[in-house]
Amino acid sequence: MRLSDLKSNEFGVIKEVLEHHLSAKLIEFGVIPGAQFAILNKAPFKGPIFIEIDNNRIALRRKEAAFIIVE
Amino acid sequence: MIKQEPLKIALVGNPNLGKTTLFNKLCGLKQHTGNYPGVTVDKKKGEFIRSNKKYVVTDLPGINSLYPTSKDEELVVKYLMNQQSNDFPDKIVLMLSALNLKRNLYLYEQIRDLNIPMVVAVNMVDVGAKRGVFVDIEQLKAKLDVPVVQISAKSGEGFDELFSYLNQPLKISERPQLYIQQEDQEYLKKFADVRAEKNLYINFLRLTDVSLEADKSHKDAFIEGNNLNVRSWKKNASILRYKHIKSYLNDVLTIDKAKATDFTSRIDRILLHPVFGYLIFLAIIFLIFQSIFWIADYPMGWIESLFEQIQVSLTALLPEGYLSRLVTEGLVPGIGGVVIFIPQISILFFFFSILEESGYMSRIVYLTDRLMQGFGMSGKSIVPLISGMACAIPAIMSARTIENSRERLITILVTPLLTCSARIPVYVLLIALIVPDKDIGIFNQQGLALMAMYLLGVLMTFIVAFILKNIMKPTYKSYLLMEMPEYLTPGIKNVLISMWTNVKSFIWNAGKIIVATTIVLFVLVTNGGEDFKNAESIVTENYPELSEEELENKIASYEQENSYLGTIGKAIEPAIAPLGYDWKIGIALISSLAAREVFVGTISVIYSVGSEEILPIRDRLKAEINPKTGLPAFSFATCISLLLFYAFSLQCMSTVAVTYKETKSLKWTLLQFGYMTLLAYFMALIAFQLLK
Ligand SMILES: Nc1nc2c(ncn2[C@@H]2O[C@H](COP(=O)(O)OP(=O)(O)OP(=O)(O)O)[C@@H](O)[C@H]2O)c(=O)[nH]1
Ligand SMILES: [Mg+2]
Repeated sequence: MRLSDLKSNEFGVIKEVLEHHLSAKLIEFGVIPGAQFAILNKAPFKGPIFIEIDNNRIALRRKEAAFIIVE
Repeated sequence: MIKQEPLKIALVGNPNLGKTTLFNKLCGLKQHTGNYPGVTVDKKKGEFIRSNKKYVVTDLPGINSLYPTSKDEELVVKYLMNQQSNDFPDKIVLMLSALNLKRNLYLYEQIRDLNIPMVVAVNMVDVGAKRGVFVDIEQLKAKLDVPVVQISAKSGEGFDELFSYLNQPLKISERPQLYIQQEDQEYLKKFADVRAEKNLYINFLRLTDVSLEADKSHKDAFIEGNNLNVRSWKKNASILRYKHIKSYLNDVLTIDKAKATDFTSRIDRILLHPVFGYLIFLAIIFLIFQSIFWIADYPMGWIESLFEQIQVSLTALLPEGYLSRLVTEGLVPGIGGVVIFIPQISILFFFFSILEESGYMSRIVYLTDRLMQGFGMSGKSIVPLISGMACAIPAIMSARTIENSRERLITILVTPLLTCSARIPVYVLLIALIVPDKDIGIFNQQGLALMAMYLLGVLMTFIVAFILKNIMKPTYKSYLLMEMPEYLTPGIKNVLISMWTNVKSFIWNAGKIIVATTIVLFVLVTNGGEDFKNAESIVTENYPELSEEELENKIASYEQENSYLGTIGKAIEPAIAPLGYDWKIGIALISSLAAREVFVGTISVIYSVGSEEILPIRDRLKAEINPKTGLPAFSFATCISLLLFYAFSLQCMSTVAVTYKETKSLKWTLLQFGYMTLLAYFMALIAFQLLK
């Protein structure tokens, strides 16, 4: 499953960050395999996603969230 | 006596930890702070003396890692890597925040490998404890191999300990390379061997990042020759570092889960609600601008009568003569025209700094990102755009945090279309001429008119951005990835500092230009050629039938028209007559080319010279007749035309200069000035021709 498919308030664990232009940056922001996350909010009209990951709050766009595989 | 060389220190850390707060506390300086990433975008130096020792401290923009993605981050990374430079600090203070320890330790781990002597300062431990995040400083001291102190940037707690470390030698030596896998290590050593720079991590950064290496061909050949996958080096490094952090973090950090997520999450549930979130955002902006009118009304009235009083007393006090008139008819109304806006501008900056300090700014970025993408910008553009409603100059600089170059450029180009505080004096004066000071329901009509001008600015900003989006070629992929800060109670001191510095610079900058232009204008309007000197005899000859009083008025206006200023005004009249302006307004336009707010001062000078009574400028303008048309000089059509002209034209030399500095491109600077001037001229032209 991709991070972008999840709904608000769902949570899980990061499995893999697929290779794309932002993957190195995502890893630097703590999006690493094994990290626990929860979706706090999704902005309307396919706007960004707001997640909490290992006690950090970050926001990212859906386009990039589609490269994050979760379970 | 202080003899030794000053100790050079630099403040380094992630965004939004309180670096600038610490800097201000140390230097007694008043730099901008705020609770969102990217408040500071430039290096700032300050000096101070503590226990008889001199220090030079550099405040840097916050960075997320040593791999820069925006202009402000690049500046910091280059600064830290250029260890031979004179500017390079003797020691750095690496700040961590208890609220975000893990991410901050990630940066610490990277910077640790640069082997710069450092002290780690942990800030916001008290706030953390309130939010259920507990940091054990003793444990952290035991885990890191550099000195660690707990401080409070706001109160000054822990500074003694911090300085006792800064005054020690602080030896730091290379540690094992935790960031690289065993099998890759020998390649890194081989790469470093033939180079002047010996630090392995700097070589690692150069090898794995595109923007940091000067000698590209050598690097590319090395990567190719050894068949290396440096992208995976980079990713592995991050994973290895987080693994290392995990190995000690549990001993340092305890989190009370229920409490930790509570406060901020509960507020976010309301403020980021898909419907209410946006309504609240609009309501906040609306309230800010309404209150500019509601609250500021009273103090403005006091200031106005104070300046009238000064003018009356000075007229009575000073001896009759040229210099006295320069003071009473030129300088006093000119300065009064700016001082009167102190209340409104203070209120504006007060609310803005509350937005910034609370952490709400990042929520606005989040809520608007999707919308902004439709206009070729990113959610991060909202920060420059909102602060552009106070002043375009810091706003354009803050666009540095936008990673994508096209989005950044569009943001810079449209920011000056927003209604900055320098336009308030002009708008308020013109609105007062055409909109009655009455209420509709609970809203003040003039307040609503001002609101409409703000909306017009916003509308045009988006129209122009949309056009630019469709003209400019897309560059590299755009993205949004940002930290969302915890909500904090705005620090009252930071709010007041921000209000005070902004108001001071508004008054000072405008004041300088206004005093200078006032003097020049006054000299030009009270001197002239032959016709000016002989005004009295010429008029008396031509109008023998006029009464004494009518004659006097006629002479005064004849003098003015034939003064040097009048001659200049007449020369440009053909160009501005189609917009509905007489030569006096033309003079005001020219004199406010360098700064818009000069308009009010100029108008005050031109219309008060030669008139007998002392009236508020508003009443004088209402009575003014355009001699050519016989209609009021400030008719409805003319005022609307002027409002539009000031809404769109770029009459601010400082903005032109800062755009040039930020874009480093004459082409874009001229394009910005050009499109805004044309837009202003033609909008004013169309409006006047339709309404007259
Ligand atoms: N409670 C508390 N808040 C603080 C303290 N120090 C800073 N803050 C707040 O933290 C926020 C960020 O402060 P800044 O000084 O602007 O942070 P910065 O590190 O310079 O941020 P950038 O310039 O974006 O890198 C502000 O809202 C401050 O009021 C502190 O010691 N205690
Ligand atoms: Mg700062």
